Amino acid sequence: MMTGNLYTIIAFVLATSFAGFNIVIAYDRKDILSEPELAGLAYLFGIGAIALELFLFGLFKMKFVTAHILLPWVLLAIINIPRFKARFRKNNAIRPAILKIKLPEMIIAALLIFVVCYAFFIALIRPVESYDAVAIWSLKAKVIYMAGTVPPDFFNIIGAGYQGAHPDYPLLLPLSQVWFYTFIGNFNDHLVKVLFPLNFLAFLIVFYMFLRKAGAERIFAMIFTFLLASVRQFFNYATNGYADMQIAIYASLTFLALYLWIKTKSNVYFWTAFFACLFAMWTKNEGSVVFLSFVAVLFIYMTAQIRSYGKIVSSYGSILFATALLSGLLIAWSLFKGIVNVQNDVVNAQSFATLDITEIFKRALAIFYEYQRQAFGVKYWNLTWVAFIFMIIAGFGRMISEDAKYVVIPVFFILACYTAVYFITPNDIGWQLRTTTSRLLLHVLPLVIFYLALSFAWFIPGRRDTDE
Amino acid sequence: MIKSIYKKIFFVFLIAWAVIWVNFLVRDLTKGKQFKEYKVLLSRDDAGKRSWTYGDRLFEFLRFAEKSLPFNVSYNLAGVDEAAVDYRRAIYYLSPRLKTDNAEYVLVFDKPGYMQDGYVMYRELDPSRFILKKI
Repeated sequence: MMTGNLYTIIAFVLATSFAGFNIVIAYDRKDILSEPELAGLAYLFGIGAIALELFLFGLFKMKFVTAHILLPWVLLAIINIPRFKARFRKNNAIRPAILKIKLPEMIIAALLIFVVCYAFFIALIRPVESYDAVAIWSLKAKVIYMAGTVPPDFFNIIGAGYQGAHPDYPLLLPLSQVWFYTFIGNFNDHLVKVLFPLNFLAFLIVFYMFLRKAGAERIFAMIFTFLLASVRQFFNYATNGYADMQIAIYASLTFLALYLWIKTKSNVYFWTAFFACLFAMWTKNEGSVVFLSFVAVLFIYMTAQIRSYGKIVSSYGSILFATALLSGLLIAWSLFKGIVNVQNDVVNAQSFATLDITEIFKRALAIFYEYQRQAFGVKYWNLTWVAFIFMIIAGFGRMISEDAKYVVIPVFFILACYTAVYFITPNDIGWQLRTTTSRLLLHVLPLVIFYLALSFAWFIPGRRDTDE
Repeated sequence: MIKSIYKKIFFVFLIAWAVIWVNFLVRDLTKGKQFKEYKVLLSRDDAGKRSWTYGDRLFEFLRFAEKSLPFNVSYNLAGVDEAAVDYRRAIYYLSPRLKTDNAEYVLVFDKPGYMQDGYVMYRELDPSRFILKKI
């Protein structure tokens, strides 16, 4: 039974990665991405792309069949054949560096393996059961899977029949679960929880590789990857069936890839950021904030280029195309929600109509109190926020003058947007803060840890492979 | 000099991080009774794990309701707090049956003697857990 499940999970990972691999290989034309980066991104983009594909199938009332779902990716693979050949011809040598692992690295690697295995254990020991999982994400997945496609009246059913299930939320997570059920051929809400630690593992691989690409020495990159994995809040959300880990992954990938694009000038990272941003938008409504932040970072970067060189030296055609495409998709999704008559219950026309300006300022204290409570809450965040505040102050000058600011700007931009929502929400502010702040901070956690790695490396000699 | 201070700060930071991480990990396993819970869950099959997670009484009732109710019907819940996770778990477990206010069936949980106008007793698991059906 256990072995059968293991084979099923391996086959699922391969099929999902096959879709993502075809996307990544199509834009990584100069083979910039290393194999581990490729593997991690292939899985993360594969799951997002298939979830998007299932939604399109549902729009055309097509039933979900594994072979039909994989067919477009097989066709793309045929187009990609010359790319596969070129890539594997280049990368067929075994790298001896991997074999030279030092003792401290072995210890960190062992700790990382322990954390990842523990995440799989915790996720798989219980069925889907946590609040948002049963109230929103897995509920939608079950309704869709039982119908065999996205039912025509799906959004009305969710809105009217399942109060609190938020019909306006994007569908990446429910449809990725539907993909899992379709692939294994039955409804199994124990085994489906493997999706969460799989995302966790895939992201940790990419995070580590991005740190290495940013210039961090191997041991240093391993330490900070472990620090991220061991943050209790991050770990918990790798096991509990919420969508917040998923959006944290895509949001962070967006800005870390943008940072690497700015740093290395490799377009492959720009398109990685583009796809990550797309999937962030397809995961949760907060994805639109990720998109706004994506635009803001690009704008600031282009402004900096104009100041330095008197013109934009990056490929502004790509920037305009990506921004226009993401804007178009966001507008299309909003129009679609208008057609099926669903709206957000926190930010909508009514919440602005009933807005009391005097009340807004009274909320500031409660919001500040909650943020400081989280920042010093070592149980869930360890020393993350304390260290972040310290390194922002200690490394401020360096951060502003170097590319690291493009990792920090989205942290503050996203948190500013979330804070603005706290000021206008029609819900009880105490309840809203208690139930959401820790999850919203999670969305930027990997960026914060990445910045800690960069900023500690500035002050500690020999922690970087290459200079800025 | 400054770099050496930062190196020391970094090592103190790492040690403090490790202490906090190990402390909460071990505390949850022992004082938080996670270890005991894992031991129980590992010895159970899928249904047993769900029963432990949802609570044995609720899960027994949900299984009873699942077997008793046709697939495409509406139902309402009585006796489960709407804000509680049990309420959400019940709705999830019984989906795609729809939970509505004016439903064909009412699932009564831990409310002995509960009755609603226009409904009659349909199936009974025990005197405090039963299903009413609309006349």
